[in-house]
Amino acid sequence: MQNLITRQRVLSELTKALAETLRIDEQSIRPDSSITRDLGGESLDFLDVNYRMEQAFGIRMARHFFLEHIEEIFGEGAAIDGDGRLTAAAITLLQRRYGGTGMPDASGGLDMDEVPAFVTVQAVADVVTGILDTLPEKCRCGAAAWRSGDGTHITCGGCGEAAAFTDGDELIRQWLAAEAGDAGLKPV
Amino acid sequence: MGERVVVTGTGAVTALGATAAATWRAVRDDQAPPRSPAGLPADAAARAATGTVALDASALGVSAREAWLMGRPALALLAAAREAVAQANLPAGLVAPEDIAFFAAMGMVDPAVDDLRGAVMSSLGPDGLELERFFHEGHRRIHPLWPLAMLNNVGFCQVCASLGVRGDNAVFSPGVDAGVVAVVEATAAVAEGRAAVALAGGAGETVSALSLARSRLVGDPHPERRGCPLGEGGGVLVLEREADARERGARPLAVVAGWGYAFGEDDSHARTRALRDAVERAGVEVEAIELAIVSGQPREGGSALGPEPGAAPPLALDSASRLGDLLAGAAVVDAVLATQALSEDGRGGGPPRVALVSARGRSGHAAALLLAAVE
Amino acid sequence: MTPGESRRRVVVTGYGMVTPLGVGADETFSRAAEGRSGIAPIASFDTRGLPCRIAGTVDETRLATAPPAGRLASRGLRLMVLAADEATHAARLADVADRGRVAAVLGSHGENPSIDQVALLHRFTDGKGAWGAADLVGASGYDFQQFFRRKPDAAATLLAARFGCDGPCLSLASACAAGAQAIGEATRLIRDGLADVALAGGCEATVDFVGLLSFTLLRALAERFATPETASRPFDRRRNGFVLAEGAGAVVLEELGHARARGARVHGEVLGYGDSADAYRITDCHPAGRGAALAMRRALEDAGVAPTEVDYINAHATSTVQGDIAEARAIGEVFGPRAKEIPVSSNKSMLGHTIAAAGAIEAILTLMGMSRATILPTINHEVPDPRCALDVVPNAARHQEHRIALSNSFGFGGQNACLCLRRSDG
Repeated sequence: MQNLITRQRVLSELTKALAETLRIDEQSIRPDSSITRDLGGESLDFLDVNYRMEQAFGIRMARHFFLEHIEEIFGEGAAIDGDGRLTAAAITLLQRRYGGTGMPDASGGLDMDEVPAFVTVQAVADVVTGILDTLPEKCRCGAAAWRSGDGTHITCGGCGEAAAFTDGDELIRQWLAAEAGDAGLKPV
Repeated sequence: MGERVVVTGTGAVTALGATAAATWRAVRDDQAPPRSPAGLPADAAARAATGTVALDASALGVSAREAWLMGRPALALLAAAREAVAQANLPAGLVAPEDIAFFAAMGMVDPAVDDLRGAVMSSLGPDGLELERFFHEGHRRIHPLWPLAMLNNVGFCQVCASLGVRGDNAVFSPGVDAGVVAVVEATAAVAEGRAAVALAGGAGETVSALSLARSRLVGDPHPERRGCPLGEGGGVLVLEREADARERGARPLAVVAGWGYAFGEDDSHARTRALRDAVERAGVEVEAIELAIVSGQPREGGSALGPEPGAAPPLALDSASRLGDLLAGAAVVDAVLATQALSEDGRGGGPPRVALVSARGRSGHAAALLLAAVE
Repeated sequence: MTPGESRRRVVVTGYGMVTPLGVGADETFSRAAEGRSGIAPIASFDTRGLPCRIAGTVDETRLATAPPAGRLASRGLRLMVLAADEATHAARLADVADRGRVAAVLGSHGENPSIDQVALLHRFTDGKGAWGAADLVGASGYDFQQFFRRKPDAAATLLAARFGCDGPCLSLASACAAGAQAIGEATRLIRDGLADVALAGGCEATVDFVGLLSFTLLRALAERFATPETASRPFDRRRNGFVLAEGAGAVVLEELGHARARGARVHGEVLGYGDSADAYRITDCHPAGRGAALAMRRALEDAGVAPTEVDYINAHATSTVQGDIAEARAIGEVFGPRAKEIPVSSNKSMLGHTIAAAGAIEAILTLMGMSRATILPTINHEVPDPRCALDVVPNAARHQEHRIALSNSFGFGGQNACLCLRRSDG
């Protein structure tokens, strides 16, 4: 965990990035706004916003979707069934990881094309915070003196190097390894 | 191709004017005789400063990001298209998007150096650029949408989306003749019934440090730009069958009468052939040409109409010396100027009845387009 | 004038190609008929650090022995010259006397800037973030030869000069659709009487750092695969992006009467060409394949062919998740219930995506398949995707007579082209 960059700061940087990318007012962006359905974003916008988060915080966002990771680790059909609908396990895991974003309950059934609409501003902010929370206790140089001069980049108080966080894809993989057993999934 | 095809709208954005009419007036009223390329000042950089165009993305309904992706040439194309469509009195919804064709000539896009700078800077070591660092890390600093900004056809697609055009389309890259190709393809699309309305456009390249550096290369054996500075801008014509235009009450401004293209190591023969095919198709004699607008730089001199002396038309305009070299945009902008001239109300001896737009380059491409006044 | 009624007919009198599966059309076709893949790890530059390090490249040893194409020629043009040599030789183009009636139409977009170009920035930076534009201009820091190779139309010019095409010379820059558009535009030139013969096609040679980087940035490339050969898997559930490739395809198109008069061999006919624009979004294709469906319908109308007469579709299908679905939906829309019965295969499963060359290479393979009664497979088909419910001719070539086919090329940004082709009758 780290307490140098607050959740509020993350949300505010993200809001700014979305406003610029989508050319809308910051006022119209709320934490529970769906990036596609409410704010009009498309896939190009996700590329853009991810890039801005990476530059703003010195992190690496995941290049692959959560559902793709599930299928990679647990095999085809683990997240998306033959009809293109999410499995109960996938819905459970989505809720657990990105919780509180209005996902339907497991009995609802969901088409994979509908998933992007559930990505809210808060969900993305939580992903960023999650990556920042992987800040190691100590820097490679041995110092345990992280600091943030500009409020968004964390550097070592000892050697000045930028902090190295776990990259977004690896973080998802670690999380799935720990949690997926509860949802009834076993790695292939 | 029996149907007569007419121009019902023109649009242009150039260094001399933000509209077709303004550009034409500036070119027409320049009292100095046309300057030959040899007489131009050598300092390309200074002159090129006058070749840039004012483009207001938000006035065109384009966001900052969209404008960055499109690039200035596509923005110029969009601005010219909007003007042309308005002049043709074609409100949105009048023609189904699938029935609107769009052919455009567009040029090179340079690497957007500003977008790469961060990546390069972060990969600098004590001895300069460290490729390994760049390959491993630096490239992550490049904006993911940068590749799109490097593709002209993406800009073209954005223009299509903005205009609501879904029909027949192609992007031609320059030879200097690509603009003529765009006009001819658009003409064919409406004549053959593949489209109800066709747009023909052309846009030049962005004037930047890199493009200027290119234009100042020494010993360039293909100096389509030698002696003439770069100019930014673009032009668009709206074309439709004359019968359709009249039926909906649109005013035909000029008739697309003839065209020809040729290629050859021997530049003058290519020019002659292109012109010959154009006049044959138009069913006129060379002597009937009263206005010639020429773009591109030929190897040797010769008049606008060919190497034969005494073949000069009453009025020959060298648009490049005034607008800068528009490259892919040249022929279409010239066609816009010719249309303005042909449809102008009487001025002294009256407007010309047949105009030639001639595109010729040292690389051997030649194209000729003949436009005629509407009786 | 209804299609076919006293309209000049356009036939193919020669073809040639250079692809990751071989130098020469027969070699490529034979290997493709065996279901082989031309994809391999990239060896021409260091790819460490990039998430996708595979591509389809032309065998370097074969290129070394190819005739030189001049110092101004880009790699793409060198490939095109090889393909055009094969095509013009087969067509005996040198026998055509009136060169002013021979056109050249090429789909390509010039070479990418090299890493040196990128490093150029460094030479003109002060190390503190400022960029010395004035110095760049003054020092003419732009390497001339690089400029010429990057010029999009340079290839067309050099091609026209080398093969003596003194008629119209067109250069298409429409990305993935360019090769097909080149054949389509050349067909129109001949039909409209502006030429009697045309050398047409497309070339692409952008398997270099900038090319790979560009598509990596857009997350368009396959990054998860068991082996390079199985990475390109159109219509398969595990597909996750395309594999970049290089190549060139050339055809000699000719007016039928002109071909017969000089005894040229006819390999097939271009019955129709249709194209459209999605005008939707830049990186997302229209989910229902609206523009793609329109291009196919237009090609059929132009050809005077009913959907029921189509025996085979050579799909664009690049192995992207969304693109393949959109094309499947478009095919469903145009062909209705019959869509599931028409064989639809993607050459890109074996060649990768050759961008501007694709439309030309794939049209040629389609014609060759028709004359050999062999439908090429979509390889790497392991788990069908229910959203692409088509007969994709999985994994093995099929021996089946077929006469009329469509070849699709749907470009990035939403430019769509479709060719309707017919087998030669003799």
